[in-house]
Amino acid sequence: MNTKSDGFKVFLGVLGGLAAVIVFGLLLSFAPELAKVGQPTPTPGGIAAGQYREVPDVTLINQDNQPMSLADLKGKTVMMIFGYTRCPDVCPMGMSDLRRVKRELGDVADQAAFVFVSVDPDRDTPAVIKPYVKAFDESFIGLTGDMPALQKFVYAFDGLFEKQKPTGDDPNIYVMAHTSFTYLIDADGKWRMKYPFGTPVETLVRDMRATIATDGSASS
Amino acid sequence: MRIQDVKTHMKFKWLFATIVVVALAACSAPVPATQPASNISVKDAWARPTIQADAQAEATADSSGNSGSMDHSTMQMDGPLSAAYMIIENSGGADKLMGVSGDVAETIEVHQTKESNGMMMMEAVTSGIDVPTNGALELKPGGYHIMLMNVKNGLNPGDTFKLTLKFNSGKEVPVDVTVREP
Repeated sequence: MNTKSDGFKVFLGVLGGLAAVIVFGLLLSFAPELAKVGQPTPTPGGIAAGQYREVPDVTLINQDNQPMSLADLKGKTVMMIFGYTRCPDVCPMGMSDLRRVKRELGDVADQAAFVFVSVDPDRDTPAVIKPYVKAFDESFIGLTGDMPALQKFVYAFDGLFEKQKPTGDDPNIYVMAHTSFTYLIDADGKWRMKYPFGTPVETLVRDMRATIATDGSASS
Repeated sequence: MRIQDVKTHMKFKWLFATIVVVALAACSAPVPATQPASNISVKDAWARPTIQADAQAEATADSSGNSGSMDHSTMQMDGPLSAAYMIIENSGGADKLMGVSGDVAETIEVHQTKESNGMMMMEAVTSGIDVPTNGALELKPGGYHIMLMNVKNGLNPGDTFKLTLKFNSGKEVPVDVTVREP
């Protein structure tokens, strides 16, 4: 009787121990997320870029065929996407979202800049990019660059891109695979957040407004 | 007499064979019959406006004037591009969207945007997309879409055009698509 209840206690102990290990394991698996958030306030819908990161010091070429780096946009709160002009689905959607964000920002829109970075330099020359970005908004900036510069730039945002095999005989008809986040960079040139494709415009507007507010108080 | 018998026998043989064939056909028929026919209706069909043709002409003019290394591709090889989206509802048995046709563009294909290795990419759908029994198939940005390549005339907000959806059941469903901003 006694031994039996002792055995039961041991069984309970083991069970409790197992439960503790499972709970601890679960906590651990969430911990990196919690730790990564660190200093920036986590925002539902967006993913904080860890410690605010300096944007890469890479010079690209803008839609007017002039050299431009993100440092040239300091003083503006920047929202940026990667894409290519022949992209039929994701990129125009992202660009439409940026246009909506700009419209919703209203009177503080002039403190924001919106950037499209083409990862398809073979087809997207500055002359091709210009009418593309302007079709969405006259103020939008389009950047591209040579392959090494683009790679350095995109990798610095933990992004990826890759040219896919041409779908038919025409070598000019192909798809680019690319990271489809929207990036938020503050007026000090620090990358703060990234948002998965499909994040509601309301979330982007809210975070842009909040960032513009703090940027404004810090810089002016 | 004998010959008559044989002949009658032969006749019955043919009759029997016919009965067997008809019976087999009848047996195989219920397989599709147990699956009720699909009943397709489409709503919220829309397509994105194309980037203006004059903007593309401007691009061509610009690049021809430049000789920089960035401008080696002088013009787009293909014409304007758009994508159409819609909700395909089915109040009947399962079916499959096999293809789409129309006059609006030179090439019309069903594509799927998918995420792979952290990147978004696009693939042509060749084996059809299920439209479930009493369910719906949604074509939406970031997922399935009808890709319109080399759109013949620019698409501006408010324009409408026709597409025909082709289903595995043989059904062809005409759809009016409205051009609008997302």
